Amino acid sequence: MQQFPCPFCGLRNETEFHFAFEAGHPRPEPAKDVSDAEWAKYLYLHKAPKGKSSEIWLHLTCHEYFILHRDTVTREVLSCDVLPGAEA
Amino acid sequence: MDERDWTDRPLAPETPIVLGDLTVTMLPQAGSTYLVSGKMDEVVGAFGLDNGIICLLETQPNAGSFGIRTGRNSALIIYPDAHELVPGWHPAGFAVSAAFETYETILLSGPGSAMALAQGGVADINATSKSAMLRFAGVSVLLTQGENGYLLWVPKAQLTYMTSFLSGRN
Amino acid sequence: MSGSRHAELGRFIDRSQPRSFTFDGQRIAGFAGDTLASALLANGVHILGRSFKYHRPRGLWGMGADEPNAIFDVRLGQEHRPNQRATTTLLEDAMVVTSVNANPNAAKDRFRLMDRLHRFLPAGFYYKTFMALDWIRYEPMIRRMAGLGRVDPGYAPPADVPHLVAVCDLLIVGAGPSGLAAAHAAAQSGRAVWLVDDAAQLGGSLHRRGGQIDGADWTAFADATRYAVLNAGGRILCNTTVWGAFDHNVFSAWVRRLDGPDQHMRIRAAEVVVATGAIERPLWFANNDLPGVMSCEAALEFLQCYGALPGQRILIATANDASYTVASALAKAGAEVTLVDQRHDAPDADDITQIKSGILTAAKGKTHVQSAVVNGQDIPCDAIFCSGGYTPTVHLWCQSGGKLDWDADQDALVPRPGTSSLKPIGAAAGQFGLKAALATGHALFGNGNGPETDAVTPRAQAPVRPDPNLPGRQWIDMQNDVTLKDVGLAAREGFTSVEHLKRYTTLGMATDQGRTSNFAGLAAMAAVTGRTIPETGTTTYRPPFEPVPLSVIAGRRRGDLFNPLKRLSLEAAHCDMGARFREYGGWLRPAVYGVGAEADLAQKEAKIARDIAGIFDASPLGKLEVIGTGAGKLLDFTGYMRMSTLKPGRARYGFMLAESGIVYDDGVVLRLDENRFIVSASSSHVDGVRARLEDARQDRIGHRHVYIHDVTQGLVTLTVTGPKTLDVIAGAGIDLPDLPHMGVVETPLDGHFLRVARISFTGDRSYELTVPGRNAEGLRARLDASLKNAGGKWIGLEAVMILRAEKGFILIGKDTDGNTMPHDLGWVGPMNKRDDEYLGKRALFTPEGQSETRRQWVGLRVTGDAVPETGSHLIPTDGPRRSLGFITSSYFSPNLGRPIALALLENGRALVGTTVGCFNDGSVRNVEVVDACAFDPDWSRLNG
Repeated sequence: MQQFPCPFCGLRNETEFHFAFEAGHPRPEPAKDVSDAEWAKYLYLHKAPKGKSSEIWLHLTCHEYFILHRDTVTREVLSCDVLPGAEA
Repeated sequence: MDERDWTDRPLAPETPIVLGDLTVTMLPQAGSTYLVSGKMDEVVGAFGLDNGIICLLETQPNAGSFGIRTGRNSALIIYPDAHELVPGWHPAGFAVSAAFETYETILLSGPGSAMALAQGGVADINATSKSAMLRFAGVSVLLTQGENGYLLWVPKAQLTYMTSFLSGRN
Repeated sequence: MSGSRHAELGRFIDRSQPRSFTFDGQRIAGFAGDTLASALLANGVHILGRSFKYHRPRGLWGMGADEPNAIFDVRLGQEHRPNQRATTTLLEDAMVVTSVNANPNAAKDRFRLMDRLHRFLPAGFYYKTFMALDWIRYEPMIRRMAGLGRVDPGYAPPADVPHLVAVCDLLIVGAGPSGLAAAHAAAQSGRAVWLVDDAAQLGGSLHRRGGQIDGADWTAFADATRYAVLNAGGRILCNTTVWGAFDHNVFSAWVRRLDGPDQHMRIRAAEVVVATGAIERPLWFANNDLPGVMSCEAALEFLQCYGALPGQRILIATANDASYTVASALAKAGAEVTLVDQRHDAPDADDITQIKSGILTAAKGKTHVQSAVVNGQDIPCDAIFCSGGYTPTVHLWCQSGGKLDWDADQDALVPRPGTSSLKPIGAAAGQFGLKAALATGHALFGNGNGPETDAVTPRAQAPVRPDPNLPGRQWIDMQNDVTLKDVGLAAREGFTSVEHLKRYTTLGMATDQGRTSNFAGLAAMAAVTGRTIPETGTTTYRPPFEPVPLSVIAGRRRGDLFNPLKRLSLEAAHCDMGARFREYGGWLRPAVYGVGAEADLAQKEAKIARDIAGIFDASPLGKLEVIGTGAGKLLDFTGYMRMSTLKPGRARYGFMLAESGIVYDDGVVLRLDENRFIVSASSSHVDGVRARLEDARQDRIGHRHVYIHDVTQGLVTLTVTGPKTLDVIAGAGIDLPDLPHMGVVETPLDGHFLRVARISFTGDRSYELTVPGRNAEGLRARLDASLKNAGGKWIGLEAVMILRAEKGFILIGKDTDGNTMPHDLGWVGPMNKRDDEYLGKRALFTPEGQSETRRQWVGLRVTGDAVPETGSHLIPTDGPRRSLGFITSSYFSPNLGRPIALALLENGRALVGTTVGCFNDGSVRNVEVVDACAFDPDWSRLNG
């Protein structure tokens, strides 16, 4: 049972979290200017790195989305970031 | 199993469950509860709360209105008596919804209550967490303390399950 | 028979408490504290099972989780536990024990001749056999002949094992000499230690090997450690197996309790010490699996702890000093002992017949050891105890990610420092002997000198390997019947990687997980392929360390606690009205009301709902309040249909798409005022829709302009539908405001909250009445009385499903799948008209989204009264047969008097009016493609 840090709640069990998306993929838009290839890349062609990885996770109990930096091999959690505007 | 075999019943306020050194009691619903979102450092003033907003495993005040933090911008606020708040958007920057019986409150008292929390998976968490909402026995609940023990704020539709879980049935 | 009970020895047994059980029908006497193994041994029972594949007689080898042979089915009263190891099962009075894979029993097994056929049953036999065409014919026979215990289908273990979450500062796994020394030092320095051992008492190998610590018997040191640990706020857990190391320092422990159900603990430990000791390796010679051949350490354990003397004329074969203690203890206990040491420079053994440079090449005997062949000479004996060295128990170390190094001095794979955060000590770290164990344990947490001992150290040993040139069959894995020749065969056939070797020969794959066999397997493979042991490598270590009952892993989350359903506030009232419940979307809801066949009741309810009126409990429908100045903007982005244009007091049906363009959810959105919306997500999608709304709120719209509250469970919604709806509501004393279709209003009822929404899920005039949970019973009672007066009926979800299907309304996930886009369902407007961004928009315009062969939503008309099966494939009426789509919903419509069916059909809308084939279970019937809406196509009843 891994423990992940929610930027608001602190360390919680991994069962309180859902993976949402790989970080660093801005949504391409407007739709009419986006090629099929760009859209496919945005949706599916992710890096899924072995090692250091940045991902967007959802903390299911408080509903906060945040960025989690972790190592997918050692399972070490490196740090977490709030989404822009969350502290406003 | 056939769903029709499900004969378990939710906890009722008048019939607490005593399991050795653990007593599970449902607290009767009184007053008004609201879900409020917005700037949490202004919520006490904006809604005339007698007490502040409490966090995970903090002790609830035993008199007056108060809030329980549920997330970065949100809280469940509890008025012990009937209290009318206008639902919807408040121009000061708050969203308000009447929560009615979205949560039922269960009191775990006695020396066995720590063991009950360990069974639900709670020994493992950071007790200084600001949000009182966590997964207990697979359900998102609010966990606070009262004068007599731990208080679990259980979503209404999961009250029956939580009763069965806590009473160690089957 | 050999095997007897020593008059005095046996520190674990209580001779004042006799116990008895039966083994394969034979009554066996023992004492409290005995294991099944020790009692059988003391009674001279030597055939304890039949081997997995060849049905060879097998006896006891080991003393703990390493036992490969003595596996029993154990019945005690009602309780039945299959595949219990004799060595770890405590004897209880009146146990009924049967051997496994033997028929009628282990001593007289009817398949014993299988062994003669061994030439035809080489490694990979099953793989090769099941490649042949006729395998299905002999598979059942092979299944009957091979295997272990049988599950008793009549017994279900109770779901009473609690799962406990715990945190601790320092976890020490193993309470042998090294674990005791570490715990003692840590507790002295004030740390709260959890000291865990799988035996009933602290001590580990000290129980059999004894020893002086700090000038006194070791038990004084064990007592001092226990006191120090408890005094420092620590815990001692005996009868507890730490069976798995998991991410982020979590360890699973199985706690066996005599006075209550077992416990399963999930311990998160800041620091972990592995003091799990070592397991003795066998020796390899012909017939080394014969009953009577045992591990030296096990023989000593049975003698010292249980007083069970496994033989009278004993031959000990070894290449290390550690076996000498065993030899002298057995001699002292009265046995005649011959010690055979492979080493020419072996130390002298006093008072024991000793053969130096002695090589044991074979055991002889039919069902039990009768003699041993040493240096070509027969030596009569009734037991052979052997030691091929020691393998450190590194399972937890490796499970936690630790790597191993080859230590040639210790002739063992030992933990490589720095590859795991765990701290191995003592024999688990390859530091053998009492002195080293105490020193490595103490060094972790103590200062200065640790506990003193007079034990001689280091212990000398010579490496021992299987010899492929030796004649006869040498067993490497006794539990899975793998011989040295099988390893050679695997190598010749190309399976030289240890992972391939394991899978091809099944070496190390049995319930003992290769405790005694893995080393021999990889050493043999190294020898055959001319590689070193480190080059050959080891297989992956995975939890569990030893077999853990599934009832322990499942815990109490079984039955109705396994996947708990949400429950209606009015459940008790529905029960009283005769409701019969089923699960729908994670909620337990009334399927039908009344007595009789469910299908008939659903037909009746659907008819009455159309003819008069029906009421159903729609409380599980999501009630997600979206509140704020950004609410319209948020819902415009997350929805396919635009919601910002909705007028306050009105409702609109809409979809939520995934970014891939598929329809994720559908439902009605209500707008109560400028800044307040309610999203009625499908009952099973409330959390998912909430998560998608939050995603857009936090990552796009901005945190401060809009918020989301889920109040689904605080409210109860009762939906009244049918031509007499207005009468029923009026009869209940509810003053209904004038509402247009898709109108919504909040109006107090008797001083409490009431929301009325005129939304139709049936195609008839319908009103959803929503009240707080505490006022629900009042509303229900009023409506019930009025409904009865009007001649209407409460209807369950089965009838609701029929009513919505008559109208061609979709149910997400039933009528749609992971490819269905909104335009497939006929909703093309937003796609063609909306200029702004919304979830999933771009995906609708991909070549896949615009394909002309997309499956579209249609109805089907059939002739006759037979309802076509849901799931039937639709096929062309001529040309090559292929699937054009399938039926998603089908019912008999009591209101139309004929079957109705809904389907996803390739290019379906263009096919309306044509005929396609409906293929089910080999037969084909023709069906006509029609519009999805079968009932009241001009929608006249909505306002009727």
